Amino acid sequence: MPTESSAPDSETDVLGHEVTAPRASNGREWDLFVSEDATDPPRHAGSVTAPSREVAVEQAERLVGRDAVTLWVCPADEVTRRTTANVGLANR
Amino acid sequence: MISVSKLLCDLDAEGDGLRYDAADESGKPQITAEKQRRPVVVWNLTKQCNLYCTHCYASADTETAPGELSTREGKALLDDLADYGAPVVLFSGGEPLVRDDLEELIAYAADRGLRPVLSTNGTLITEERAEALRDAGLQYAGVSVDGLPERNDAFRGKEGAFDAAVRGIEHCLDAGLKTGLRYTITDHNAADLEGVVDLLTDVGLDRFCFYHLDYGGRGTEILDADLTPTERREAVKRVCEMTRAYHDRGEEIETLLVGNYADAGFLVEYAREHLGEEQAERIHDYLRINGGDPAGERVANVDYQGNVHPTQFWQNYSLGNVRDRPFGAIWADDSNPVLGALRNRDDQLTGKCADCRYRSICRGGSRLRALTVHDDFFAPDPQCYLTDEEVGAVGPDVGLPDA
Repeated sequence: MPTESSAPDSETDVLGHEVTAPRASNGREWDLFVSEDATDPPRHAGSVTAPSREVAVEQAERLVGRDAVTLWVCPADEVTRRTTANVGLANR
Repeated sequence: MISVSKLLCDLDAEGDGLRYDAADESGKPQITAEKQRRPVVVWNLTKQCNLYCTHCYASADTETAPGELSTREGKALLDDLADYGAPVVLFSGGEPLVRDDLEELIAYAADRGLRPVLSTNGTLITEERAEALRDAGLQYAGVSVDGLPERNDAFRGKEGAFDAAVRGIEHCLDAGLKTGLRYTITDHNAADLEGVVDLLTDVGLDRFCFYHLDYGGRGTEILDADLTPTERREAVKRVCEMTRAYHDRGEEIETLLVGNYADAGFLVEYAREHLGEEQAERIHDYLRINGGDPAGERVANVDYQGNVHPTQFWQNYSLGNVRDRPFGAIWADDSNPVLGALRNRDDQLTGKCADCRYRSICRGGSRLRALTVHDDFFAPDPQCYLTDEEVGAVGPDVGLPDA
């Protein structure tokens, strides 16, 4: 059965909504961050599904690494996704 | 998506709104429309499917995967899509009919001004379900069949799948639903192409979409079953010949080619040889407006967990997730390197694409296939079957890719 995201505790919560739904079922998801100038902070550039860090890095380099000076590849299941109540999909 | 019947036989059919350009909504003459500005969105409602097809791009399984968007979240997604101005939402899967809220979501999409269409294996469409889909506001049902019965059933992993799909098609037609065939051409089933069209024409079908294999999901596991350039050229030529033969005898079937924009160049060459220079120029103009490969621009995908992909075949890269940001914000983010590369690819294409005379109507074809085979975002699509002479290539470094 489809799962509902967890409901906000109250409308006044600050970052009280946690998005717990998974983003992959064929492997592990890896969030990518890139910057194209050494003076810029890395910026989110999507994610790849890959079975290992090595494969994720390989995919990331091919997809988003062409013009990058910095590339971060982060396991998405280690990322906590918190939002304010009205940002969650079911509450917009 | 390229309408062979429209370009070669001047058939201006109603279609499903899925041809990735607004020209489909125009009447004759056909070369009048502006390029479509918002994407057709393919939404994979579920990963679950009652079949297990060899070539499934979504790697569908018989079990439900965790994290499917709920009914409530799905309606919020449809609100996002409507607010962004998406013209069409294609409900797909897995098999979308395994979700019992499909009709509710279709009705909601229709109420929000989205054109709801469906991609299904057809085997779960009963008389009652077809009527419910029609009543919900469904505008088109595309039913997948991949060969004559024995070959289709082997491909789909279930004996009787062909007969069940035909029953589903009949129920759709009886309910008054516009219905068409989806057929992925591979080495296994290319020989069945005309036979399937003849058989389903007798059932009452008049719309046939032929897909080239894309290299996503389980499609990457059967690359050895993909056609060689020579075989592909022959298969596309047969679609052209078959379409013209049907029309010559007064049967106005609609035929479309999907997923390989080398077909655009081929159709111009074919028209020049068989219909004359004036018709070839007219077809070239239409295809230029159509805009070539639509990935990252005129087609988008949201999977069952809310991940947004550049196309439905590109499942292992996500631009973002609609649970975190609205679809429109993700899609409009030109700072994303993949979207940027897809949208500004023309001058970066390499090899035979760099100077190809058909670059404006093809745009290099599938970047996913180029990455899969050549490990290079801007390399030629390995499925291109145009000759050096046709692309206008000169010099020693160009030529057909290896078969």
